[in-house]
Amino acid sequence: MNKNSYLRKIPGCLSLWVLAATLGHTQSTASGTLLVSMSVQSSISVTFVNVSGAGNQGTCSITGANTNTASVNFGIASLSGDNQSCVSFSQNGSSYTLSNNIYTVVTQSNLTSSNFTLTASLGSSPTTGVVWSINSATLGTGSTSITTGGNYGANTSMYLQVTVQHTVASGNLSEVINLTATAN
Amino acid sequence: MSMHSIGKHRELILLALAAVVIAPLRAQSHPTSAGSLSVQLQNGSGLQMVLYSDPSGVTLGNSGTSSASLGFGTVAAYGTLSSNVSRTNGSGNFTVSTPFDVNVQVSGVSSANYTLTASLSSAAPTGVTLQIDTVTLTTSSQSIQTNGSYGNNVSHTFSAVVSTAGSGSGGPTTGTQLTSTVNFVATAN
Repeated sequence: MNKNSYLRKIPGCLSLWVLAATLGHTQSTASGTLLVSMSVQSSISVTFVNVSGAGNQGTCSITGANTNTASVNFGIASLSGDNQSCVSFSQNGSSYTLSNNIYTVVTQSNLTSSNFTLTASLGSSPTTGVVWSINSATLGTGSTSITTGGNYGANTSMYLQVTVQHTVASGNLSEVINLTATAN
Repeated sequence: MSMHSIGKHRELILLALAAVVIAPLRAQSHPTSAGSLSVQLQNGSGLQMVLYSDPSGVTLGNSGTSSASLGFGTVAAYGTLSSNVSRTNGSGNFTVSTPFDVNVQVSGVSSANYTLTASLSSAAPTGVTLQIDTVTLTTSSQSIQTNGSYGNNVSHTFSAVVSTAGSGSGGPTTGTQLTSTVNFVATAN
């Protein structure tokens, strides 16, 4: 083997070592990919809130504030009065009426809507002689319009009343009132 | 028989005897042949990243590989979300989140831990900000973790901050599939 043949081989060996060293260095990283997908949907929400002064007469505090499932206790009532001081009471001899302000906040997301319509319905037919109303609109098991141009994000007051005739037997008159907010 | 023929006969007998004696001796010499094999092996350094579903997270597509998918399903500020997707409502936006796991294995590297970076292949959809562990992702590399532990499923939280604005008002397009590809790189420290 002559001198030139050695010279021809040495660069080849060097290049292999350099390549190996380079590969060894670049493999000190690892990669991964994550394909993320979602579909955004418009939505609207109605929540019950306690406003400042809740607990005072005319505005009972609710439980379940800031959720869409709340409750308010109107207590035990008769023609002689109501045992809940926060409930406004009136009677005309043949019936009594309990009144209270309930507040809701309606918010929207990913909508191009300037206001909303709020409707209400009773969960079940009321006992005969009992009338439920919001903002003077009598409620039934069918949908009743409460607000047609409600402002998003603002407290919306509902004046909830129940009138009970003196002929109604004593017992539980609890009702579920369902609200539905619809973007206009 | 002449004396000459007797001599020839004796030579043949001696040769035969010599063959009988020598042949076993040759057989007992056990001839061998040596050889050697030179084996070259260089243990290269290497890291491998695998993405896994987190027990508390959305089930990834192709979990257990380095190329997985995460589907949030339909998301909204209000209403029901897919299983293992959580939501927080903020002012002007809502955030949906889910954990996922990253597992980085190492070989041939003298490294105590690794740095994890992430970037988006393209800009996030309009009205959507993508985050990992509250680090906002962009098309540039962002550091997610600087001391990742090898060989363990390290949980990270993927979040999408979605504007509540309507489409065309800075909010995301609704009712269509929005996708983004997140590229991860783990580098040995």
